[in-house]
Amino acid sequence: MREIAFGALFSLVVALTAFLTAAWPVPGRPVASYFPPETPASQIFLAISHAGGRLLEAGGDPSLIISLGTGPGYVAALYRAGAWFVVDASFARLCLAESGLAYR
Amino acid sequence: MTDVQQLRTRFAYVLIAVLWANSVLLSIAGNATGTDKASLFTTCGMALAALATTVWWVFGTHWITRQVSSIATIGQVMLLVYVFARHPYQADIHMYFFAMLAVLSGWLDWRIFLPAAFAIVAHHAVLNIVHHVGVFPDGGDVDRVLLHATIVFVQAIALSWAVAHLRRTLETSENARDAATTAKLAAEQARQEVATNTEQARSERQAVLLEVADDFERKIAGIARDVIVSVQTLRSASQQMTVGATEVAERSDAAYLSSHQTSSNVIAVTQATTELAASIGEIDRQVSETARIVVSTTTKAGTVLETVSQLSRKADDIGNIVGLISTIASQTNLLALNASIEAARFGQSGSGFAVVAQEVKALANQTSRATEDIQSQIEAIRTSSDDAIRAIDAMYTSIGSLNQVSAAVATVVEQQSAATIGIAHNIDAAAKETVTAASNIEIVSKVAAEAGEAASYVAQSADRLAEQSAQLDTEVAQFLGRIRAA
Repeated sequence: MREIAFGALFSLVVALTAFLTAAWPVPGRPVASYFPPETPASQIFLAISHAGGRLLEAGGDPSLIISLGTGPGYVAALYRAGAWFVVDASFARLCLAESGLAYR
Repeated sequence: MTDVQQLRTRFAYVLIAVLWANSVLLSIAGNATGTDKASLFTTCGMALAALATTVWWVFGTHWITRQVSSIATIGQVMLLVYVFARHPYQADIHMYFFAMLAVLSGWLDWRIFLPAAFAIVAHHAVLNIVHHVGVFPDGGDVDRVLLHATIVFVQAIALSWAVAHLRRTLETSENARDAATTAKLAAEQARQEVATNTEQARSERQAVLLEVADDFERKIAGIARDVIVSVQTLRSASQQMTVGATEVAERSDAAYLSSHQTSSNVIAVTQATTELAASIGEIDRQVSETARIVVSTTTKAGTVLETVSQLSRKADDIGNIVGLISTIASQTNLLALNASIEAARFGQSGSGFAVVAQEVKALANQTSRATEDIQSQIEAIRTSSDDAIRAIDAMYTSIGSLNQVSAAVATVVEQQSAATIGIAHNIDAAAKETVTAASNIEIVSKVAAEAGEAASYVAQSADRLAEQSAQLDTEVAQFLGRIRAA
């Protein structure tokens, strides 16, 4: 039982790792960034702009933003601007659907 | 190491190779599909392979290694499915899950299939919701997820059963083989123990025989030395016995002669003793006669003494009478004087009378002189009587002493007679003992002769014993040689 419990936990870790790997943002492709909810939309837009990106879509919830950055340090710049996490935009489909937006 | 462990050890190399091969496959597939995360997938696949390799390096085939490597393999398949996202072969790549599950059966551990199946199902379920492109190219479908999950669990259960059964079969076979091996080893050990015990018994027997031989040789050698010493002692003793017997014989002859001489001397002594006894008897008789004579002399002396005493008393009586006569003569003389005076006064008429008076006076004087002579003779007699009395007293005393001496002599003679009788008895006993001693000496002489012969026999026996001892020593040496060679 101990072995099975350990295997199950490690399976979750590996599955999560695989998921994160798949969701890892790719330079040159749209990314979905999630900021703290209290962050003003203007600050988020300003951060994207300073990072060299451009806004693609924004839903009713301003904390979830789809953007596209061309520079190699774009994702890192978003994290420095206060983003909680940045993933491939395709993985934000469910979130966008729930927020009333569609990812193109 | 058991068979299961050996299989797992060998399978570990296979699975590590498969993990690194999957990493290569991820790289190839990433390049082939043109995905923009090819390097990331390849890196993740290599990271999973490195993690499994490290855990295997640290823990060997421990269950942690089995779980980690199994999930890492499934994780690589997940990545491979990602790599084939939106590719027509993506659905076919799912079969690689089944292939890897089948490969993982090489661990012979049913416990890895449940977590692996759980990982696969969770992966499909989550991605079907979040990012269905990652698992199903045609879009998310819960039914497909359930179908895949069912298939995966069926395969996992089948593999678990097969692996568990295979493992039990292997363990049973191994146990049987171990039992057979153990039995074989036990038989071999028993055979070796038997051989060892046989060899040990042979060695112990040899050691015991050698020890017995050494002990026997030591004791026999000691006994042989003692026998040799005893034989030498016996020989010298027999020689001494021979010498002693000879000397005893010589001394016996001399003693026999001495005994005969002693017997003769004893007989002579006996005769002398008899004569001595006779002499002593004569002495006794003479002493008795002397005593009797002494007694008689004493009696006679007493009689003489009495006679002399009476003679002395008679002399006194005579002296008294003589004194009376002397007194009478004095009176007569005095009367004659008075008569002369009277005659003178009568003148011539008184002349005759005067003459008679003269005559009477002369007679009176003669009587007085005679009386004095008699008185002197009586004194001489008295003196002689006193001398005779003193002589008789001295003689009486001498006779008393003589009587005492005679009594003492008689006593001594009696004692001497008794001693002579004792001497006679002792000499008689000595004569008898001398005769007995002579007989014994004769016997001793014979015994000494026999002892001399016996000593000769002993010397001969000692020589034979020495020869037999030497022969025994030779036989013992040969016997010990055979024992030590056995």
